[in-house]
Amino acid sequence: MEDTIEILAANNLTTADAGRTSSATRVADIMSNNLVTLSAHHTFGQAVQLMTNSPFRHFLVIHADGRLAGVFSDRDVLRALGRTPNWQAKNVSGVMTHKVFTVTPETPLSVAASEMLSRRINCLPVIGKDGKVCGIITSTDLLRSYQKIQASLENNSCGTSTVSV
Amino acid sequence: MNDGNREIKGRESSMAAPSGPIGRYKCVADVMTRKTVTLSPHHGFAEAVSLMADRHFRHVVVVDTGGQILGVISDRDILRTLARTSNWQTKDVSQIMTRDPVTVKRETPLPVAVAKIVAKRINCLPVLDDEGKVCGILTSTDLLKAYQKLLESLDSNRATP
Repeated sequence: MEDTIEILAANNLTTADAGRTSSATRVADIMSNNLVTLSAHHTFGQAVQLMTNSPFRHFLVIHADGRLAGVFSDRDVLRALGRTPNWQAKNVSGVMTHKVFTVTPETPLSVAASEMLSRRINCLPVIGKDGKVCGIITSTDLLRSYQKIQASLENNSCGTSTVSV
Repeated sequence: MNDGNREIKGRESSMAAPSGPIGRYKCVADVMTRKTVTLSPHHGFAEAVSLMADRHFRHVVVVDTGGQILGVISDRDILRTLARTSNWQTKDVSQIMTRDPVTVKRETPLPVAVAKIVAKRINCLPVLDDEGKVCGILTSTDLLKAYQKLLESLDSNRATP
């Protein structure tokens, strides 16, 4: 059993957008608490399998105490594949990104979006007050929120140029 | 750069002129990346991998010699091939690309493009001109840039009512 990949659904599939409107302004408003995590000792092959069989492109690698160890992304896989000859022999910790930029639930969405763009990344782990991982915000989460704002702007745009949020 | 050689052009984003009162971008042409990277169907798996590993983009449009779109190859296609086939070294681009990709036109409204990307769980939409030739690519990053500008203007609206 100990080598099977654990898929931990931290809060049982409650993506945080249930009932939200376009007034989302902070990370907490749109982040997912539905996390798929890996351990640093999983093999490269296991991680690639997991990635192929799930819709996610980013996996948080978490220490036993709930603190973040790193992020394992599809980008890391490609990089390993392109540059390391013995990539089959690697484990997750040998391939993942160790130095990860994180946000808190209170971070404004505009800041999260600009950090993602300037750092050329697509996911930001969300760290709670206790220092443990409490969620993840991806570029897809941001685009979903963009979609909602666009819809409300369309509704508001008839005859007026002001935007109420 | 002649026939069949890999053509790599720089990407040049076209986000210069915001339209509308708060810098709203209205259609695909306002935010798309005009210069796209293309491959021919006969390029090898390794070429596609090194192209993506060395550069920052994740999507390459596959075109025939006439510039007509044949498919899209994404980092996702590469991962899928890697995980499911043992002889991936021998594959070429035409065997791993996604055929008949979802596309948009220059004048497609942005909300429609965003909805396609979100609903179909993809990250890139090739942009076709009236003759069906590829004239650009719209990625989730292009859209995120537009959203970020919108968020900033909303923030400053709130700060100075």
